[in-house]
Amino acid sequence: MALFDALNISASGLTAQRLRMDVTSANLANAQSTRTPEGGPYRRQDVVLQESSGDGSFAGALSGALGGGGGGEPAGVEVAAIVPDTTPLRRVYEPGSPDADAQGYVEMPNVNPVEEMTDLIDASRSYQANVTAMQTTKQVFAKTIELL
Amino acid sequence: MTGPKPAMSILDPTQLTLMRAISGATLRNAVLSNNIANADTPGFQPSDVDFHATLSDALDGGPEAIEAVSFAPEQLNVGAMQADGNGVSSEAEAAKLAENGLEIEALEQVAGSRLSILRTALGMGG
Repeated sequence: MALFDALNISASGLTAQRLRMDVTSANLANAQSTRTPEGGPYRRQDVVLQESSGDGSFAGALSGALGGGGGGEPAGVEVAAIVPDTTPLRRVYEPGSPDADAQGYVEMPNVNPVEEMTDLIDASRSYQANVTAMQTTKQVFAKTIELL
Repeated sequence: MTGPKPAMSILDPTQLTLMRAISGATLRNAVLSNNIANADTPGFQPSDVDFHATLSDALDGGPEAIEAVSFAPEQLNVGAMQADGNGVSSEAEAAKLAENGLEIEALEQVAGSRLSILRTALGMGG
């Protein structure tokens, strides 16, 4: 258990929430994109978070080698994957579009701007919660250092 | 350890208890931060460290038990607070974190005052 574990844990939360904001922004930016490098219209991307095991970190390995258990200690959060949303695409009647099919319909991305905006607010609030946790920890550690 | 224990060491049981309490509260700080970091992880259940109970049990066992005390986080199975099975209440965790931070500061204040008394006794100045 190192002194700065709590700071690293909060930092992992900041990284994860920042990525959620990035992905949400990409979804909003591509709400009208009918073409992608993979072909077909853009599909909404979703971030999957998981609790970090801490096995890969230096601190986790050191703690394990010293017989400190290693397991069970908190190690923060990590991004498991960014997966495409498989819900059906929107079909819009637009016969003039170059991407229209024989019936004049264009497949548009399955992005709902309202949903993206609420996700964005959610991620930004979670980011702030991690910043607050970090500030509390920093304040306490500053006091500890004053003791020495 | 063999032989009789010295009547009094520089770091008496009270100082030792204070230091163990600080390390328990520091672990709790990390665990609560971890709960906040995982507030959006599907299926995550929060943990907490009941270092007061662990320390209080060790106090009954004398100085050796206090010396050897170790703390471990425990998962609280509070059920789902969100549709994805996550059990973290950010507000509750933030409140616990603030409270725990104040507790560490209080413990350090007391530990620091006792150390400064020792420093004076050793002629090193307050």
